[in-house]
Amino acid sequence: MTLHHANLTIGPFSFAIATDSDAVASDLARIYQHFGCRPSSKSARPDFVDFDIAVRTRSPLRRYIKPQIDFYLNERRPFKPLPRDQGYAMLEWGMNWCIANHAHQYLIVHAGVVERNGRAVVMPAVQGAGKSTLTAALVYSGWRLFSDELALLGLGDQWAYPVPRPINLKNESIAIIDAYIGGGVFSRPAHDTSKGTVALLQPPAASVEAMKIGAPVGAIVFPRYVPDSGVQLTAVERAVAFEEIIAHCFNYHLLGVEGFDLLYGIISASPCYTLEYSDFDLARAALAELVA
Amino acid sequence: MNSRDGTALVSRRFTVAPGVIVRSLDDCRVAFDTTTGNTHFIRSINALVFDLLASGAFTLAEIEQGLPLDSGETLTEEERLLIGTFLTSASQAGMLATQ
Repeated sequence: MTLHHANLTIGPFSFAIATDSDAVASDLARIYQHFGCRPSSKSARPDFVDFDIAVRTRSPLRRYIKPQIDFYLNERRPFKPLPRDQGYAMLEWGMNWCIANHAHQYLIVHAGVVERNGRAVVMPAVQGAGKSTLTAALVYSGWRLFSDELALLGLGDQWAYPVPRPINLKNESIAIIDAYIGGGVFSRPAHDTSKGTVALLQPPAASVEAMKIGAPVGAIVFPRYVPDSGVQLTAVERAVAFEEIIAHCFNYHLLGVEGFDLLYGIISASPCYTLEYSDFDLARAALAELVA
Repeated sequence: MNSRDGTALVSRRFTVAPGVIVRSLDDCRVAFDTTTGNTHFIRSINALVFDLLASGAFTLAEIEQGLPLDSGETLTEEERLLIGTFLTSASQAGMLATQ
């Protein structure tokens, strides 16, 4: 069985990835095409990486009977195995986990982040609110992708920093976005995951090219897909936004007063809104006004 | 102090506890307790109480006297109750120190 190796630099992070799954290697090459990712059987691991990860089949027996796959960080398995055909999704979830659990030089918020006119819009939301779907629609319509999942907020300067990884779309959102952007490059869909059917959408080339360039936060928007709502942008009291955003942070309590000062600084300087949307074009126009 | 004891509440002097950082966001006070890492949001009349307690230690009566109310305005019974509840719960949460 061939072991495929790939090295990826995504925003401020570097990953060394290994997998014995041809399907995972193939998806990796396709989805990270703009990063110059070409998995190879030869390991050319750099001297230093932030995260040394692997996705490998569990055991020889498990290759044939209900095959399962494991995610490894530094040869340790932090999760239970998943069915092998969820291997690529597991790799992406594992990469999220690596960043969210280790990159404490940032305040990390569960949020989509997009940029336009040099200002970032941070969109915190719970899973299923439509954050990734809206992010995908925006970044294939002229906005720059920072992330559909993890807002990285710099402790020193209060800026947002990009980590433009693939956009994690679920269930009906996959076809909706594929139609809206006129055909996207997706990973093979993983069915019957804990989130339903999942497919990863390739990040736009322009966002990848600019992945080292951060931006000050221009607005905080709490998005929610509401059928037939068109678009409804409503100002939120900043203290309410502060309270809400804490609930979406991965490491606020770990950072202590640094996290508090950072969030206070951003929220006291940024307008805060809720956004109910069902129409991408209307939502895009409403958000564009915030950073005009 | 037994903060559930109404008599004790009246006789004690309250102040913002050391290690509590207070910031303003519009009409709300956001207090970060560096000891516990907890963040508290203080609104309405209690935001004014918190502002006062940040400047010194005061008894309940002094707090009621010292609040910056509009000329001629006095505290309602509901507001007095709110303040009493706030002093009790904020003391229990470690945001206020008592003397």
